[in-house]
Amino acid sequence: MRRAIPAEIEADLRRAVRLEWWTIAWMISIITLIGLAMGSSQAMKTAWVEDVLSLIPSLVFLLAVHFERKAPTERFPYGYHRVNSLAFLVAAVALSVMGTVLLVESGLSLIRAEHVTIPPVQILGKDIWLGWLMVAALAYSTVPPVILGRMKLPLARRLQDEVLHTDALMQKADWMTGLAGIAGIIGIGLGYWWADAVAAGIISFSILHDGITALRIAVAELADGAPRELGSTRLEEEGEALKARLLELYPGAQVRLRDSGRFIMAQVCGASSPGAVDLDSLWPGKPERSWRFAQLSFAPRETEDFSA
Amino acid sequence: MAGQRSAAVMNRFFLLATALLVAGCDAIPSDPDGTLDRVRGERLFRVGLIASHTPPPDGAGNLLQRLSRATGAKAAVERGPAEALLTRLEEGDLDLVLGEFAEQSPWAAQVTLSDPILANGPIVLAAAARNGENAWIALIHREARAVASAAE
Repeated sequence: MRRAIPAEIEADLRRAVRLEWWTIAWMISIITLIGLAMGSSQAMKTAWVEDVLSLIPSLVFLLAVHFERKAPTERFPYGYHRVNSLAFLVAAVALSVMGTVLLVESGLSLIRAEHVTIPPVQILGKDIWLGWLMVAALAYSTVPPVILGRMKLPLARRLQDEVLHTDALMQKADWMTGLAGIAGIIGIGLGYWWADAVAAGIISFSILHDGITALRIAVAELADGAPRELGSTRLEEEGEALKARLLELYPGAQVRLRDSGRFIMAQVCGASSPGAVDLDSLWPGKPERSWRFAQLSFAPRETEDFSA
Repeated sequence: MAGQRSAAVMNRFFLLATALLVAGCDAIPSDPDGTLDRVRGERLFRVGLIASHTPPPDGAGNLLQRLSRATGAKAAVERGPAEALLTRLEEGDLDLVLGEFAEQSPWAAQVTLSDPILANGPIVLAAAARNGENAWIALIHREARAVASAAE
């Protein structure tokens, strides 16, 4: 195993950490504004919960990076690379559960035909319909996440970081929930009582969708799945190429690869260890990404054939 | 590519929102069940007065007068017990219920209460309207506030 954080990604990682702190600061400002204007609108409540939940990936990322830097100890001899996946699983479960709860809630308020009251409020002695403040808060809430999401996406690809990638994708798509919320509020304003609950349903569906996607990715990694592409369950090209390369080098052996955080670990069964190996020289992909190949181990051949 | 398209969609959306904001200030909010339009059309609104007072407190009369003036409609007042009147309000048989409510009244979720018209400790005189009739509610809120500030 090489050092915990390869020098190649040190700068990107620092930048990602900085962006995540910015994300938390912006999201807190959005959560505060939406909370102040929330009233009794189900769509606003759902949008607010979504914004609170969108803090989770940022926090998980910061926490995971903090642990990842720690050297292996006697009690954790493999280091802490997979704290990331573990935290990600927790976040995915939270998203899925909240998405389901909110979806049921908005469905119930549709069935009960609940008519939402949005009263006027007084600001500086003038009556203004609270709905306009809700629309303003929602419009504000669409801007920072989209910008931050766009900035994080290329970093996530270079760092091969699932949490950061999911976070960036969720934020990039965040303007759609803001839009749904605004449509819901304007709908109520025009006298369509159901607009609010429908908007809430759309937003909660997007929360649930994010949760399920994250759940599938986290489970694949925790179950020692073969390396996947970021944000997807497809097997990754770099991993497949590495496997082919190892099979070529060790004919007749069995080769298996797994993801561990952002790294790939390989095991060759049925070949004897050649002593020191330069992992970089074995990497079939772009040299700037050779840091991903973090460990090569040798083991006796197993009776079960897993290379098929 | 997708980024440009989403930016274009967003631009168009904000244009639309601004247009709605300018054009819609009168039309928004409006009532899902058309209470305010009906009151103006029939020149009548149906009021339930919770029968704990004889004669009714001043604030109640003032509010009804102001609502009449604002809508050009007459108030048809009937008296009754709170539960009966509020249940009928919820069902749309009444447009307004006037009475005394606790500040943390459990009815506040079922119907929409105005700000206090007259505050007397924890029990306040307030107007209740059916949930979601946002234009009618906006009018009641405005007039209730006017009555309250005139009484001070």
